[in-house]
Amino acid sequence: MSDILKQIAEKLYDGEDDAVAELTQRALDEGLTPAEVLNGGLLAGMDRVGVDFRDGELFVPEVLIAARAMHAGMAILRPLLTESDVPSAGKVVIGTVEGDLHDIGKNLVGMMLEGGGFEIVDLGTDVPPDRFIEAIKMEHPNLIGMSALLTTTMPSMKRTIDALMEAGLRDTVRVMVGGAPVTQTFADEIGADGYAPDAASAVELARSLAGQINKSDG
Amino acid sequence: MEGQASMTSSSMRRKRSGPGKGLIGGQYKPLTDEQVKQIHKASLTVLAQTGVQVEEPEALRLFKEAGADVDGNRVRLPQSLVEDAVDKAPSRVVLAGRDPEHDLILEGARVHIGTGGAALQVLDLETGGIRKAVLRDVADMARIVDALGNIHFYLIPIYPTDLPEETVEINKYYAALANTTKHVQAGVYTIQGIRDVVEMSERIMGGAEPLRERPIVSFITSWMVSPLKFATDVTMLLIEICRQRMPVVLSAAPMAGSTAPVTLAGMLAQLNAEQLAGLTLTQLVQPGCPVLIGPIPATADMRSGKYLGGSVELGLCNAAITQLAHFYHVPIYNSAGMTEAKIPDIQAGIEKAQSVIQVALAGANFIHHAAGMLEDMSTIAYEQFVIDNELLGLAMRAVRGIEVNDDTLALDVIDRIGPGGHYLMDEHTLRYMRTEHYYPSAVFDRQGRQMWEQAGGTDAWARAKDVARRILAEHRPEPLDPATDAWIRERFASSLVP
Repeated sequence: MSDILKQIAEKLYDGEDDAVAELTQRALDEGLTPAEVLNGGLLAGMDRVGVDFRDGELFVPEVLIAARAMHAGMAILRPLLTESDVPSAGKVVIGTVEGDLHDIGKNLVGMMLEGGGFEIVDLGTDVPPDRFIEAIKMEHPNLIGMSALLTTTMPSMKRTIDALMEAGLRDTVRVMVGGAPVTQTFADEIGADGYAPDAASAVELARSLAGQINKSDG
Repeated sequence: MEGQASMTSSSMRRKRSGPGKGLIGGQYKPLTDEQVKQIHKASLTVLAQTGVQVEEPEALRLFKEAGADVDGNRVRLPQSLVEDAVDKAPSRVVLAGRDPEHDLILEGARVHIGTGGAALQVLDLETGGIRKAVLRDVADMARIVDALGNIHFYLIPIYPTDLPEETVEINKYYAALANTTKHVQAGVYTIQGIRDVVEMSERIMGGAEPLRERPIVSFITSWMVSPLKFATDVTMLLIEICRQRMPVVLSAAPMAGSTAPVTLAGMLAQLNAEQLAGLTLTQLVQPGCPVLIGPIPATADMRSGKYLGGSVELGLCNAAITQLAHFYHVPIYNSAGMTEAKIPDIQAGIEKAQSVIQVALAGANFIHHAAGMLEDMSTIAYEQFVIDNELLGLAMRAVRGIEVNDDTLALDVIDRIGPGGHYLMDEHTLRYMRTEHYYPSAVFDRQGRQMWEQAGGTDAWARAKDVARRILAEHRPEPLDPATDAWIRERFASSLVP
């Protein structure tokens, strides 16, 4: 592997977005192909971030700034990459459910999903069922993610899933739920497809759910 | 990938370390300044009015020559004699480790915490049953302590029962020094044992003076039989250690209700008087010799007469007596982390936590008994070192306190983020998150229930056992220099266990 790709991976790991952008441009100027820069530099660095995060060595903010650095590199590469070169894990519509204004957990999951290669449509907080439905019709996501912090707003998750069924959209998306009071049991009871206890496992869950969709589509 | 080596160095920079040793405590003061003075005055009255019983002839001679009122074996100390000794005693004592990283500077309210005891029993890591403590345990526990970052020194916590008495000292100190680079302290029983250990330690440090400058060993003398009676044999050992200019601890552990007044103030007054009498003797033997006062106030269970190491009064009174040490500007050795529990259970956790946090926040310089102990001073458990290492870490974080300055108040950051934003990606967060918050090891579970269940659904006790097993299997402390080691083995061939 060339020295410059190694540097890109390292700077990405350290979350230095300006350096990653500069090095990405320089790598292209030196004649490397966009796919080489993507795989050997950006994705190699991001893989290492994932491993060290899972091992508890990296903290959430470090993963987020690494993801930001990844974006800085991708901004340069994306116009040059062919459709098949670009890794897209899928599209996710996320929101904090109706009646609930707490968004740090939902934002964190959104950022981590983005770092994991997903495209995110964030509906914000206090999102009623019909806004989820509207977004599904417009954005055609693979997944929707609902968040709640309050036990009193958890029933909104069930109401949203029920509304999806009524609208005939339930089979077009996979539904994941999360938030401090939410459990796997609750997720099963309301008919969600998956539950993740934290932002890191939300990424793994989203990958696995998106994989199911691709399989059923294919 | 090829970049792996430099990546690793990048992640190494992020490696967390504990809150550190020698942090300044003293935030917690159960006594008011006025109460400290009241106890001080009461102790002087005890020494002048009641006095202490001394039978050891050399100590008796020294007290008499210095102007104490000696009536048979009863020695009454005038205030001036005691004050003179307090002046002469060093306010700073260094206890070194073989690795200078582990040197402890005992002064003011600097806090260090570690092991203690002379337990005869071990809770076996594999069988879970009780067995006799043996020399091998001295070495294995040294390795455990060497590997655990929040334990600052190795006070040999067991008495090996598999050796002839006259060879215990050299064997246990050798086993300890060979298996940790942290400071080694233990109780001693014979003049010859002290001399052997000093000779061995001088060899390791490259001479008599280098050892006095950075003493890698120190000695505990339980010279006082409370109330107020010098133990003759141990007083002889105390005098020998002072003459050797080696650091010595004046350990005394009265129980309120049986060997001290049942009232905590009365116990503190008596115990403080005992300490001042001992301190006075050390400074008469060798002015300026390095001494730690060692008051360990505890209570007796008045339902049985039994010693209570886990009582809340132990934590409270060890914190209070620390204030007296600060008042005198002499370094203090005292106690926290004992429990009446027989296994590492909920009772053990609560009793240990209350005293460790109280005494650490009080700013005691050398807190022993704080790792590995169960059942008061009777039993040591390998996994308990691992569990207590977590407690010591969070206690030291509490000692560190809260830093308040422009940068930590973060007004510019608050303004930059604004209402409704978040701090997760701010440079300020990244800069402080590893040092501002203390992170326990994986012995303390912080995962969600699902992850915890997937990982086996174990409790902290089980996880600590795994860590202890891993350390015993893998940790290799920095060995003694081979030539020095060979010299020691040759020199003490008749005593050392092969």
